[in-house]
Amino acid sequence: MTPPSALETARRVRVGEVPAHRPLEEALARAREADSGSRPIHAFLSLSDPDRAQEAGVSQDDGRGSFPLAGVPVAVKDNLCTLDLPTTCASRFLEGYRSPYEATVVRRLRAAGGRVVGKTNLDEFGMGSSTENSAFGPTRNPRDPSRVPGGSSGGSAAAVAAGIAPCALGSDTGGSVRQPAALCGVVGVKPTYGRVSRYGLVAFASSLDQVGTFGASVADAALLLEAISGHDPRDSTSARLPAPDLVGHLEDGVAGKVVGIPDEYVPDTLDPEIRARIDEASRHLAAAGARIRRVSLPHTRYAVPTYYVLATAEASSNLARYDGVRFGVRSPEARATQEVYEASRSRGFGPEVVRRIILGTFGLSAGYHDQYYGRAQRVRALIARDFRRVWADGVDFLLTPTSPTPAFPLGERSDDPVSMYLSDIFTVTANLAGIPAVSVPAGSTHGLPCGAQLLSPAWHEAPLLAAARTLERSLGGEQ
Amino acid sequence: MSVGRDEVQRIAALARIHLDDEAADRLDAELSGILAHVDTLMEVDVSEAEEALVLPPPIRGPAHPGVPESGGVFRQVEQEVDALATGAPGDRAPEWSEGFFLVPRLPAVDGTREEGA
Repeated sequence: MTPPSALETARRVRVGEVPAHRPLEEALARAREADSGSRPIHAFLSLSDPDRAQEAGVSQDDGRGSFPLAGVPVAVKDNLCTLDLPTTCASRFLEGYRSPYEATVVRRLRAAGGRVVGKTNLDEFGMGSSTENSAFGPTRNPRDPSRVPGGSSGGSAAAVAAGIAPCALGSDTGGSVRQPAALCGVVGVKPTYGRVSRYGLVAFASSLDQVGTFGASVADAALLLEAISGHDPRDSTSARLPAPDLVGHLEDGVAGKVVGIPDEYVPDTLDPEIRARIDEASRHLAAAGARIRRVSLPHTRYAVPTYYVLATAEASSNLARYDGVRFGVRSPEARATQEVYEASRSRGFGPEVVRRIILGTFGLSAGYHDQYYGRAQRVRALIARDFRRVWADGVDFLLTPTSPTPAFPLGERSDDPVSMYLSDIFTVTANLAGIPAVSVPAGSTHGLPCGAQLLSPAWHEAPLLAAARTLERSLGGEQ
Repeated sequence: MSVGRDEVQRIAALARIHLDDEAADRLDAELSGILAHVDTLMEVDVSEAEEALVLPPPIRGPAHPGVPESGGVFRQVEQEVDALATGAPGDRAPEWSEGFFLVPRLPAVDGTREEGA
């Protein structure tokens, strides 16, 4: 069931060994096959129709020449706008919604010769860590279909883990690419805030959201990230930097680099099997020439509450547009303007989205603003300062677990929001500080995939992915 | 801290979300649990912290010339909007007229329903 890598697919299409349309057809067949059994994976909410893509004016070039993603099938999270397929954010509110424009990242992947396989399932508007909050039903983990794939980009992670596509796009607000990558046993990258355009990414928390990539290997995740990176004048938070050369530096190694292991990320309460995988990863990095050092990031324990105050505050503002007038379902019973808003929003949003909007509105409301939102902003600055101090002290990368647990059974945490929020405990800090991070498969714990996370200073994606590649090679992944 | 049903209903009204009493009580219990966790922020000494973080993170090293953007993007967006306005909207909207999406008329702000909307 393992398809050829994205790099190999593109090479075959470029030299004419394989027609450019063939890899997409094969990916579509694999996607249908994955949903045909008694326990469907349900990675996709919609699948591409290549003819319809052409009708919608989407470029379907022949994929020859220098196209880096020539013919490569790419799964796209359903909170990224596409012309030829609906963009639902897994919400009843946007069921059937068709965007009049495409996200910059989708345009860029098509311009690089890539083909969109379909739109993948997610927690509604990206709010969740299990993909169970989708209005259209959960996604199952291809490694164990009784368990969640993680979230919120669970559909994209599952599409890669199930071998449907070699790479996929997701979005990462607090770990939504890296945590599902870890739980599904694939690679997930969150770039530096500003590295990739957010134009056409449906906003959840604008100061934290960043489009990221999944790959069956570090190389495939890097190839896709390279194709979508770079300045975009349509996103005012996009940095004025060219796309970095990532694939060309993948074999640079870690010789002479300093890898820090923060005490706060390997607490005494950490699952001993996960600790053993991180110890093993650090031994491999040391064997490859890195120096390992224990470090401290003292404000780490405040990261999850900081994140949940700030992310929900931003979400309460961003989601104000879903009012039954500009977007979405309108309640037919409403008799006055205020009733239109209230009835439409109450019917259109699922319970987790309502919970977060209420929490965010609470944190911004008069009487609570300084106590919650204002304070969380300052703690965020302290968390970012912790990282800056470690980098200034000569550390090149940090090594941590990606998730405190392996994939949990479907339904296990649905009624316990705090327990679900703590799934993000090792990932939210990168979003709060705006720095890049990658999750690499690091063996298994309790018979399920385990991820190791590497973090680096802002804009250092090339050395970061080279370190991830070193880890992947030494842990017996892609050769 | 405990929020209380009335406070949850007040916040829900600010967020334009209707909650019945059962939903408000459930959210009260959930929010109180979440806020107990969030209240750990009160123990942090924030006297040395900046008020906000600069994002994207500052770029070190020589400045890159970047991509010229003056006016270009707006012209491009305008052209796309024009293309949308003159081209067939296809199935992107239920109704369409003279370059505008048609949406159901809102009931009057004062609460009286307007007939024939």
